[in-house]
Amino acid sequence: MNDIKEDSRFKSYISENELESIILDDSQRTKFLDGETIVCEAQKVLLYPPLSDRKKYIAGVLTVTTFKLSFATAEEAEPSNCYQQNLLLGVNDICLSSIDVIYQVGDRTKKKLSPGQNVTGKIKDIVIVCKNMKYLEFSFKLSDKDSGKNIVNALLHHAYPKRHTLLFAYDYKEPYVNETLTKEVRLFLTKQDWEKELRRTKCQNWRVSQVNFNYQVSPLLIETIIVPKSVTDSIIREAVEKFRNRCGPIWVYGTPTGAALVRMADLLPAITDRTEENKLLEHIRKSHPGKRPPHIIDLSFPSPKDVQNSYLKLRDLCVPDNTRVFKSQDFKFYGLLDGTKWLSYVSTCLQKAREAVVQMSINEVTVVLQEGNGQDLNCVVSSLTQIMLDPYFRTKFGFQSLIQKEWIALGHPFANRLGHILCKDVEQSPIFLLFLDCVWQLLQQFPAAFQISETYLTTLWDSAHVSVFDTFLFNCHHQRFMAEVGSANSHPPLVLRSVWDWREQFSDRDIGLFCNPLYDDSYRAILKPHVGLAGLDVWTQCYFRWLPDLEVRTGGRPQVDLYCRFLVAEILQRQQGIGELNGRLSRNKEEYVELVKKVNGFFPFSHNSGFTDTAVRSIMSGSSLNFLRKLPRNSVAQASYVRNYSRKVSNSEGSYKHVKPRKTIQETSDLVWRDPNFELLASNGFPLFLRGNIGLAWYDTQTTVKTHHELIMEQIDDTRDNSNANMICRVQPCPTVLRKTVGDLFPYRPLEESTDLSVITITLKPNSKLIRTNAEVETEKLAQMFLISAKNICDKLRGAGYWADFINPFSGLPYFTPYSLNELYKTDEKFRCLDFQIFDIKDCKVVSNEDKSKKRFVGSLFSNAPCKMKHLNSIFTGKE
Amino acid sequence: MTVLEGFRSDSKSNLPHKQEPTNWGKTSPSKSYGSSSSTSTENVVSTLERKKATASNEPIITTTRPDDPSLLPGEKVTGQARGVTYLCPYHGPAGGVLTVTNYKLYFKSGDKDTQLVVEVPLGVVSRIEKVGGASSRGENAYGIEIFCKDMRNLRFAHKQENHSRRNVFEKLQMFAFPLSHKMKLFAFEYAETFPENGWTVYEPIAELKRMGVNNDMWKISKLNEQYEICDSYPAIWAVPAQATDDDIKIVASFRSRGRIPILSWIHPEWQATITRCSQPLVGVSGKRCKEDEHYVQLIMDANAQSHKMFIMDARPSANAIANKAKGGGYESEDAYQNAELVFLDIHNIHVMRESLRKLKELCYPNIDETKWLSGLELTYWLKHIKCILAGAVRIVDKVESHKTSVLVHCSDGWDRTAQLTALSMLMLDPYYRTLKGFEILIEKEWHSFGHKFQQRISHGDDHHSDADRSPIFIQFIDCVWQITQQFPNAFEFNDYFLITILDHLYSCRFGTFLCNTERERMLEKVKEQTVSLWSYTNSNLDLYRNPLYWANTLQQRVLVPIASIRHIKLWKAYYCRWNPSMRTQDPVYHRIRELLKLKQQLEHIAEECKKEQQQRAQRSKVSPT
Repeated sequence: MNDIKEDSRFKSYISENELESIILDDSQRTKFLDGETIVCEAQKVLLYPPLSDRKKYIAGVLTVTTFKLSFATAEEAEPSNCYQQNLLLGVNDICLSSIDVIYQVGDRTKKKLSPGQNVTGKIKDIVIVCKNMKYLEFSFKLSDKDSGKNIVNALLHHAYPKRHTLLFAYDYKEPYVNETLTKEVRLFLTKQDWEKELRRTKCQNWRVSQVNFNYQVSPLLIETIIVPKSVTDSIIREAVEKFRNRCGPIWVYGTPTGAALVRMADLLPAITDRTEENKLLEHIRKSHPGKRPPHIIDLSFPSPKDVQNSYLKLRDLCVPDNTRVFKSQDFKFYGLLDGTKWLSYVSTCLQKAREAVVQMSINEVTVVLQEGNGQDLNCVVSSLTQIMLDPYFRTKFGFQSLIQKEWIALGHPFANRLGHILCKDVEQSPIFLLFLDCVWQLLQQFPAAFQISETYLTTLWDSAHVSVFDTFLFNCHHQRFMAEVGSANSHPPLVLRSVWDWREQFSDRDIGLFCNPLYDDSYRAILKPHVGLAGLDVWTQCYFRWLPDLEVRTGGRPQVDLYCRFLVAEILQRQQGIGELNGRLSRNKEEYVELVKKVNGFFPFSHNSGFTDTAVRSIMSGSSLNFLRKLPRNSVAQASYVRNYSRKVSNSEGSYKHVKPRKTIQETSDLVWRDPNFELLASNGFPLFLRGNIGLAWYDTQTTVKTHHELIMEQIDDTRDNSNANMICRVQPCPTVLRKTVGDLFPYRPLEESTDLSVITITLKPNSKLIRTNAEVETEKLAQMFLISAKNICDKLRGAGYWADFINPFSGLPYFTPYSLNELYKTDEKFRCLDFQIFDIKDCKVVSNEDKSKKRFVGSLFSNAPCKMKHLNSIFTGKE
Repeated sequence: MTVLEGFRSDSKSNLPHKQEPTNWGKTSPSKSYGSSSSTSTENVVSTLERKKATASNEPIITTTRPDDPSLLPGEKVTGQARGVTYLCPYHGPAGGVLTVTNYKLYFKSGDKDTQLVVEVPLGVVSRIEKVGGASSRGENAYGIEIFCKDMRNLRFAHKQENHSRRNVFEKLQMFAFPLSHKMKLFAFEYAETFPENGWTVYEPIAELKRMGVNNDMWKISKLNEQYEICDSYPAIWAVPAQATDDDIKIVASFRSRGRIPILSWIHPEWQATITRCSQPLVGVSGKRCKEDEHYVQLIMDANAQSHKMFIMDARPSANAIANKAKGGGYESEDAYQNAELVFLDIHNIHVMRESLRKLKELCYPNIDETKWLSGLELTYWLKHIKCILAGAVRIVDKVESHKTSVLVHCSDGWDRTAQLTALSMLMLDPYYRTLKGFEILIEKEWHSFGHKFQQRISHGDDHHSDADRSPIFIQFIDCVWQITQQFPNAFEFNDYFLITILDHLYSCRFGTFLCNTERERMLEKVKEQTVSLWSYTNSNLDLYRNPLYWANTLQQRVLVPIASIRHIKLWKAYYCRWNPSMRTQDPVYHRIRELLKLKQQLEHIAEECKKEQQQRAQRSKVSPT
């Protein structure tokens, strides 16, 4: 073990009795979601970091709510940019659903507290072990009498609800609209989705059956199922009686050659006669174009219980109590790892999937997966088989749809397996983690084949324990359906929130990290992984990330990841033909260098901040204005400043969620969307979003949203006095005298004499105080505002089929086509913002500057849209 | 590459093949990297070379018959046997022709469909045995078995008539173990020339000057020019400026084999140093030596930042105590005031040899998946790697964080000491993480300071059970690989460079790893009569570059790897490389090379466009319309 680094964030043992009461400011205090209520709170609680041997601690306030366990501290927060930020949970918060075990710890003893128990004695130290292997150790020795006991009792009661309706999802009040969900995932809950899948796979001789409409046949099945053409609904009705969980054979996937992938449960234990099963298998055989008998793969091993035992042993290796245990585990680590059997189960799953792949692709035979209840290993192997066979399922959309299909729609009992509900005969077992681990192994062996990243998989496992989303909350879809309907006497209807709506939890920057920069969309081969134990690795990021001592400082895979993102961004920019903007590129390089110095092995799950120095921090916090001043004014590099500035977001507002931008994803540029790697570029087309205003990103949604709703158009002849508004937009026909100039400004677009040409002038009011003290900065800010709003307007106009463009005040070039063939139009004061007013004096048209005294920032954009207020407003508001 | 199509591993065939195989050489590093590991059983290095030769259309030697191998300059065929069966553990028996040259063993199967080539430099051979007699029954029972130093064994079956194996066996014996037959190693016959001269890579004075010596505290001394003070040390070394020549001679008599503490590395900002030596000759009686104590004090005083220093004894304390009985021992803290002694618990060469032997059993020929993890545990190989890394991390911590000087020694100061100093210097100084810097590090800490390569590897010697053999250098390279895994962008070289070094550690093609000491190499005229491995690598640097390497002054100077076994993995690309199902070509590197190539192409296109535009602009200037 390395010597533990001095870490200023953690106090070493001082005279602890002098600990003053903790005063938190607004940003430090625990934030609450709509509908969340406080159950219990304790002051002066100490949090020991993992493997600190209780020699270091942070003091803070511990709160138990109906949703989470939150620890708020006055200590300086970790530099958040290296840590994934959850909009629902703070860095030191955990969702109650993710708590697995609570231990009462004495000097030498460690006692497991049983759920629902009522502790009466004094409690000094507790350890909480989470399902995602997070390990928290709290001490109440300095807090008030009974507060330890109260917290523990609150946890033992609220973290293990006995009824499903007690989960927080039922209380969460935040309104929810899922508009973008269809872009993220196909849910497989409707008939259309299944029909589409059947068509997509070009699998013949199968049909969609609605025999389970209204859950008539089985509540455990989805309403739409796909069965061999020769199987009638009455056969199904009869057959399900014979199967465990009423789960007869269901088609899930097929190849164009006719090999299908079918899942089914075992016959009921009481039934010894297998004729019923054989009859169905005969139907399956007949549905194969070559009438070849299906290949049956038995998946009864490992059982959910085996997996759970294995997981618990693996978790022991990941949550050592102290350094002594850590070292003794290190001493015989590979032996202990062997003893967990985890990797051998991973190997088994991969091997079965590979068997299925070989049968389907080489032998072109239908494969039937059969397992006890048909809902555990069936899900794992079926999903893995499809991932290996079909590149579609290796994209983010495909992967999410696959989980919906195999796990959600076909009813993996998540509520039981993830232990959401305390119930005696429920068998908890992280089958889903086993699956994610298998996918991770594939990702290691075929890094170019997946659009999703390691971070995505880890986050998905974390998200499975956040009791806000319905995706992993139920045992089957019927339960979800019932919950959504609600019942008059027990609970109100549940608002369904899909976990795939990642914006509910994360900002674009973190979502950007879900994409794998190594992804090669031309990689379409069938994956033939090495499935033996010797070819597998331990999923370090997911399992060891809670142990800061195990994190490689400024090293590890994230460094490779970062480099690739940088590389891909460069390539994309060149492909898009805007690589000429060398200024931007060199800025990217600088940012990359800065990041290289900071990013550690568990990024973005890093808790180590030891290497962050103040110099780096100032760069993160976007003090790029200084940087800008050093540059020549007309340099293209200013464009990079724009981006930098625009990512400034004030985070200090009251709640975690302060923006819900949903309509902001505009197809800004065809090029971005045409590119197969566009996902890499996150929602608005830029490659890397990192916390704390660093990274290779451009704008985020917050900033575009700000200007979004202020756009009210008015025509120049409108006489209302708007001079005090923050932003005024005016539209007027372009005077003929200017037409030539405008034509010169946008040389790529010849202006015809006859066309309309409108000038839209955006006038921005500066902050009067700032403009006096710091005019330059304020002007930059306004220019920035102008750029965003002008871009917004142009997007709309272009969306409506018109041409629209403006001169980027930072580059002096047309915004939408920055390469004119010649670079004649460098920044020139007269082109920067066409700030004019037109009035008639006798026979002359006078083009003059607007009132100069008001010092407003004025910029213009040009369009061939007709100059009609009504028409334009309809474009902007989207209403006719 | 007519070979091996049939043996491509699964993972390999999945990879998109976008380039023609002929497009080879310096211009396409991605390809070279990819196919380097696509061969199933032959030596990776020789494959690369042959391809290079075919691509550049410079046949090094004219081959008369298709079964003959291509030969290096200075290489000649010495024996050949037809109708030999190679018993491949992965693809089954294959019949063909076995050729022995003075450099390598070469087998080519006759079967056109599954052509199989085995090419093994004879330097790799550890032991050759006859299997079965003329009367042995059973198929393929009669032949020879070759045990190699690079984690594999080969078996050939001969026809049981006319002593068909005799000629080949004798030639193999003779050329695999030339020293035992009073002949010279192949390196002295090898005659290829390269544009670069690897012998000039390391210049001791230039390297010392790079670190700022001479300065107030340290001086370059040529006291050992005739190798009289210490025959296993270099002619030029750096010692504390205050130390007099007479004192040094007395110190040398108190240190095992005269290996006094000399400078390895000096911190560029504060003057904390890493020095190395052998154990003091304390003995059971606890002898003391005033001059030695004073000398150590001088090393401490040379660093104004700290009034303390650490003596890192690489051995387990029990071994150190046991050494007292043999006249050795360790510094007592009473005698060496202000010095703190730390034992790093690294085991000796015999333990390491045994550990690697077990690892070979585990990895070759086939892996028993059910026993993989527990078997790995039982080899203790990774645990030893961990111990060495942890020791180096401690040294780095003392030098970097505590600004104290560290003196490193083990028993003789040429095995564990070399591992520790070289690794800690690698972590402390980015210079050593470049290709040339790493070559210098090896030349300096291993060659010039007297790691006994000849003894540890036993080039051309048939005493296969020699107790002096030990994989100390392999272990060092493994440790380097572990660090590259944790810091993938900190090194200019890739793991293929490391594998190349290890391949030529045995091959006897280059003079680099011959002899035990600088003095021996001088006497043998190694520099004059052989080619350096670095001549070969430096003439082909693109092959060994790490695409992720970010050569930038802003990059962090010090690497601190995590020395927990949870981060230490088996280097499958080296230890398991003969097993086609285990071949792990690093797909990340592959993909990054693709991306880099794409970027270059785009840059090229952009460049073309620019030129065209300029031309057009000029034309329009000439003739305005």
